[in-house]
Amino acid sequence: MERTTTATTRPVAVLLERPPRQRTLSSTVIEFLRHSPLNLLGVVLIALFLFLVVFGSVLAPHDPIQPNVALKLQPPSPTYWFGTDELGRDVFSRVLSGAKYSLGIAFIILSIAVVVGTLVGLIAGYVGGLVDELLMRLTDLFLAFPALVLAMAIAATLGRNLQNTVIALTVVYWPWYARLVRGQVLWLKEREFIEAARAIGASPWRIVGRHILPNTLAVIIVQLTLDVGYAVLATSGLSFLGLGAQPPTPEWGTMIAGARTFFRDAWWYMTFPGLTLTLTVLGFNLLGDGLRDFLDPRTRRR
Amino acid sequence: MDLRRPEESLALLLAARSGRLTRRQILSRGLALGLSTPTILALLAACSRGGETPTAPAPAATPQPGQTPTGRRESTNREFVVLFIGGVPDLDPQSAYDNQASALFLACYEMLIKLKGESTFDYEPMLAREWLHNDNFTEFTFKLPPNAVFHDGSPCDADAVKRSFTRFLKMGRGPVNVISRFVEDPDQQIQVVDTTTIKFVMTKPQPLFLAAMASEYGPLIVSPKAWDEHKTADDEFAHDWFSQNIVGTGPYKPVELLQQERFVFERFEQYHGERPFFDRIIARVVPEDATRRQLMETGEAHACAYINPEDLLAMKQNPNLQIVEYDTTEVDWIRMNYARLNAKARQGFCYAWPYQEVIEKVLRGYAKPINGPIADTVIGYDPSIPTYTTDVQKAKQLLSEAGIKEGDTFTYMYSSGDQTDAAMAQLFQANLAQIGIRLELQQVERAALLELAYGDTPPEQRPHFMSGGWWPDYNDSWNQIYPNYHSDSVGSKGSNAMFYQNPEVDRLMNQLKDAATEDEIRRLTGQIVRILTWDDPAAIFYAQIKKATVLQKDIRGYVPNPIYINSYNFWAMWREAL
Repeated sequence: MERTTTATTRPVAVLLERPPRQRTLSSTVIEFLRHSPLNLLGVVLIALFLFLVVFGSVLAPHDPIQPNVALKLQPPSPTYWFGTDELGRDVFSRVLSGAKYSLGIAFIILSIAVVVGTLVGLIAGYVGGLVDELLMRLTDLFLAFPALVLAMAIAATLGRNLQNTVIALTVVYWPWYARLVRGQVLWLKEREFIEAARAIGASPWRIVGRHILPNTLAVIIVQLTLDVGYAVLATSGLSFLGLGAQPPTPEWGTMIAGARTFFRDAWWYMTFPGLTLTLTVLGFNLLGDGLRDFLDPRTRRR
Repeated sequence: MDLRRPEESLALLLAARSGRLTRRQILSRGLALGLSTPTILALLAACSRGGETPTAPAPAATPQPGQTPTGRRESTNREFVVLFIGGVPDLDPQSAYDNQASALFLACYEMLIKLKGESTFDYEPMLAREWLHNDNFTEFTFKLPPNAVFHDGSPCDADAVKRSFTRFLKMGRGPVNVISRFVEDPDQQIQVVDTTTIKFVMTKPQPLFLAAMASEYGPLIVSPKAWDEHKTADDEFAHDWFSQNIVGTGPYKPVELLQQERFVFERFEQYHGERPFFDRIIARVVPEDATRRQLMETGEAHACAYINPEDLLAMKQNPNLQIVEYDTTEVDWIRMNYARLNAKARQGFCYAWPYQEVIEKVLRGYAKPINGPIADTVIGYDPSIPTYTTDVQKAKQLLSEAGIKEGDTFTYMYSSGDQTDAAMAQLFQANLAQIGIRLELQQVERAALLELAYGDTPPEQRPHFMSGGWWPDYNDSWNQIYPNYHSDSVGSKGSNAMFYQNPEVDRLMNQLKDAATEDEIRRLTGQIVRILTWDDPAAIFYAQIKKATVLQKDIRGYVPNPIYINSYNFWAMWREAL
């Protein structure tokens, strides 16, 4: 099955845009990493933070939750690499354990947003007509509001916790994917290989699932990588405003909000979670930009 | 503690005579010894150094109002900038029940009398020049200055004062209880004797009336002319207008009132009293902690009463600033939901609170332990009532007796952005976690929290814990307890946000309201506090608050008062040329 699919889609795309050269996944990855040193940096940063999402809590040298006020606001030392916070908790341990909240939540948000958005985009683009009209006006409704303001309103209405942050940000992100996918579908469905599939009697489900969707994935992936950074920022932003994670959850935004008061006398408390957040967003932006350039045939050959 | 300890009382008297102790120290020690107010007053009279602040490094040479200061090197900079933490939405002094609003009002409005220096039961002239009362405290006469005028130019005579009080009492907003407790019928009980003499007639002996008249909440005099000009058919008290405009008799008149941003006042040239030093007073609203500290450190602002304990410790090291610390009448507490937690459970939670850690590590010493809602500076304080200390095992035992199982979850609500509260809540959470109880923290906007606390949401829909604090409008235990723990004050009817309703407390409080002697006040308050703290706890009473106001080092004449918390005696303050 797999072979037939690629056989149907690839000739057209390959003939139009790519030299007919067989490439393995690993050679593509190597080529991508060689493409720019920034790509390598992005991948390394992301690999590091993904590792932390999974193993951060295990690696934390101290309990990230249990206060020990006798040790409050200690500067960085060999025992407490990033110093301690106002309740004497190790900032390093909290930053490590926080990855799964800040970054993990961003992944959950985007996974849901991508699934919902893609589904809506596929239906709107392929079915067209009144359905397209209705779905697109619905997305317009969501896109009309500034993203963070809308998310704040939703989070504040639903109540302050991480679950509601996920809901709020998902609501904000899905319309972008719906728009993106719909555009791709509109372009793809007039292409010859789709017409060919239709001519040999493939069902709409098959056409969408086997021919259109795989051809939109590249765009989705680029957009996704670019968005992870924003989603991490938005999650932390909502938590910073007190609308997301609640204390004592070691979420980075919550930590930065708490550290604000002490910044003048305990620089480490705000600096390390802030730096971690910056590097995460930077990593995803580098990867996203790199992927975009790499996958775009016009910039790639330069 | 034994009420009769002659040797300690004698030591206190000697210390007072020699001037070694300040008024405040005498007051607190005297109360701790169980001395009666007349005795303490006598001691205070013996204290030669009254009115000076011992903790203040610099504010010396406080000029008494009415006395020409001599030999002081005055600065040519006559502008004074104070920092506020938030806006003041209601500027009507007979409606606003708001600490920051009161601080503003002391620049532009006047009570008839005010508290003298650091005392909470000595008075000095404000609008009235002199006052007297009969022996059984049923008639109080105030003498006004002949030259008093409002900022709008209309004269402030006895008739105007009566009309102002009539507006306050009939409008019935905010702090009306401060005076309506004594004056129910303004038409009959307030009498204009002549243009400069006004008399208040009580229906029974009211020894606390003068204290209430010196409160910065409510009994301030507004212009009846402005009232007449701005009242409408829908708004007979012109409250809408007064909530955005200021027409008083105070030493400063408004120039610019941007209620969420800044307030600018300039000297009122027709002011009836001593000409104050500063030409302009500017109150700036700066919500961010770090920015307020920055403005103080760069010298752009000259005073701030809202600096968190952590910053205060750092700012103490700054030679350009002076930190004036003072004991207050404020007690902070964690209200417990009376409808959702039984007495045993509430006792258990009292034992689980991290008292010492909160006072030392969160409040950084700007607080001390307290045995109930009455601070040791308030009349009625009973030192014989024991204070809770943290005992997690005892808490566990009481909670399990109360039917609470391991893994049960409770909710604690606090205002977002309040880092002190967030830290305390997490320490409490950690203590409860040790005994398997889960505490879920809920941050909400301050406005939403106030809405919930003072609204009509039924207690079943309120959280289990909510933090709060209170200080009395004047030095009186009833005034402190009634709005918070009487069943008449539940929900939107007062500040009894967790629906505390104990019939015995209600009965004792009703007796306390009419208590005529100080012994009776002391006895009844003690009984009430014992129930509120131990028998049927209403809240976790965790600290009596010590405040600090930060001033530039050249500011002189500032005198803090345990009742006028976070306010300024603008009229006596000045800047020295350094």
